[in-house]
Amino acid sequence: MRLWHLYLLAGLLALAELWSGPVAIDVGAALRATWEGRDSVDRIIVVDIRLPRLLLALLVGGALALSGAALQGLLRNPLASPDILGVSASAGLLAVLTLYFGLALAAWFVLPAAALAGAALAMLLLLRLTHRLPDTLALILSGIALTAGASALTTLALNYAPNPYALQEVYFWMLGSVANRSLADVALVLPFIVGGCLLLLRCGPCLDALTLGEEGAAALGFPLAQYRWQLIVGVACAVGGAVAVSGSIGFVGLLVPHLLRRAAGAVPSRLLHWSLPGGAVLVLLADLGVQQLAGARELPLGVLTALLGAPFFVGLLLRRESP
Amino acid sequence: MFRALALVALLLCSAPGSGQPVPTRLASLNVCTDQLLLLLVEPSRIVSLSALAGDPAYSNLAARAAAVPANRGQADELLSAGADLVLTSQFSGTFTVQVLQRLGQRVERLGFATRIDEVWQQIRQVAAWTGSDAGLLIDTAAARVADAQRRLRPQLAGKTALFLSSNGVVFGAGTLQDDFLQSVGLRNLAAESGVSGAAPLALEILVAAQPDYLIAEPRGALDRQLAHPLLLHPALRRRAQHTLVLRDRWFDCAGPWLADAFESLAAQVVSP
Repeated sequence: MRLWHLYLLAGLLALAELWSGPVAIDVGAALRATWEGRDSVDRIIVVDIRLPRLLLALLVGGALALSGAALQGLLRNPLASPDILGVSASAGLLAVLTLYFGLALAAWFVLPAAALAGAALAMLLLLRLTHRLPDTLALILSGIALTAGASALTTLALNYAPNPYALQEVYFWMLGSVANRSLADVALVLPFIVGGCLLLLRCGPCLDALTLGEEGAAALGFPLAQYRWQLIVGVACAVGGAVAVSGSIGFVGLLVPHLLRRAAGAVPSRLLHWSLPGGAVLVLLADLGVQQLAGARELPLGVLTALLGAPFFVGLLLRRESP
Repeated sequence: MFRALALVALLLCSAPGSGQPVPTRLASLNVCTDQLLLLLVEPSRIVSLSALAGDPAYSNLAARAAAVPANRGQADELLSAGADLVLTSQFSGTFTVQVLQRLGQRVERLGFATRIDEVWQQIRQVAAWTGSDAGLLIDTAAARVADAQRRLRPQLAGKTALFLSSNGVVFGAGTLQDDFLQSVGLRNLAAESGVSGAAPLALEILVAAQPDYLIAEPRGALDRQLAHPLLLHPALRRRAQHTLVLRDRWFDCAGPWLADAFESLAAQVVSP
């Protein structure tokens, strides 16, 4: 498999999203109507409902997988990913606070900025911890504690929200979904996700050098502190943007780098480049899946990724135990 | 503590017995029975109401509820309030109700109105439990409804409509909203799309159904929802259909405010 195969696959799956949905429509006619500027129901369904959905699946999938690969490279820990380390949950906490207490209505950037701040705070806390903790497993456990703490704080805050059904709504929202979003939502997070991904891709050479250890990387002339900041800001932007618009879609950041590690080779910078389209493929597949499984209410996308990811995570832990 | 225990003992002794005397101290665990109590009974007889009774988004009599202590649905709150009749709905506070009944507290549960005649029936039921008279109140409301229906039918017959509530929920067959629409000659597209009860409908189906009227809460109420209130989605805003504004709270609970819904609809669609 080559890198362009993944991009091709992501493109094909994204196209398939245009045809996937509960209403059978003529996509060709809808696209023609769009081209000619005519208004029709098919056009609304394709352009206003399915197009934002596929764009967000591409963006969010890429951002989460790339962040996972970057975190695994930085921490040299195969169990690291934004959701397991509590970065997603912290982003979700601040996002939900702005949503339910009316702050998100104040200005367009408040919601993604809050999610970004939550992700950044979690990253800073974790990196402060890494040097004090005995081993990598302890870091993962701190991440799980951070996730539990952020979820509990979210519940606590919602207890005082003006909407008495806030908890139920947020429960569904936090499971992650890209359904029923609009192009305005895409535009809202596009700069954060693209900016974050570019920053992360530029960390590649430093992560390669880090495989030699911190002294090794420093000896090769990499300003480690500067790269670490770049990576923190990159993950915060990418994960913050993704969580602000789609809730918390779990396990993408963990699964994708592992699934691609053999194909991409053991070099972190290559893995970064492969994880970007790889994450898009996984989230698109999961999103096509939830549309097939839809009952009375469409299944949140994060449920499907967690169903795949949870056994995979246990498998990774087992492999650690028996070297 | 001792007071509560003494109360429990008292309740255990005075449990069911000779007939049902008219209760003097009333309490409610549910926003629907809250409102019917406030409607039918003088406030001095009400000792406790649910916290939602004072929230104007869910209660039609929020201002009247301010004078009555609010409960959070806990059994001990209800016991210490010393009510001799606790009202609730069939679906809320199951565990609390079990505890109260085990301790001998009289609890009556109100069903869920799914038709207009059931709304009047429910008011009559609570009036019977509380020893009040609802005859005039029901007759007045029913007459207002009949008058609005008369004015609405010629205008709306054969047109299509769809109720859209929080989180993309629509109201299909077997709901009060369905009966409401049909009673003025409108076709309920949610029911025709196969929805029964209140359930979410995919945005695409909503757009493809092309209702003549989309009925929803006013804009301000949507601000309390999560990031993506469906009504504000460009796919729905772009359609030419009329959006009508009716409050959810007129339909959520049985009461004479159903007549407000009919009159509001008439004011919005009947040309003078």
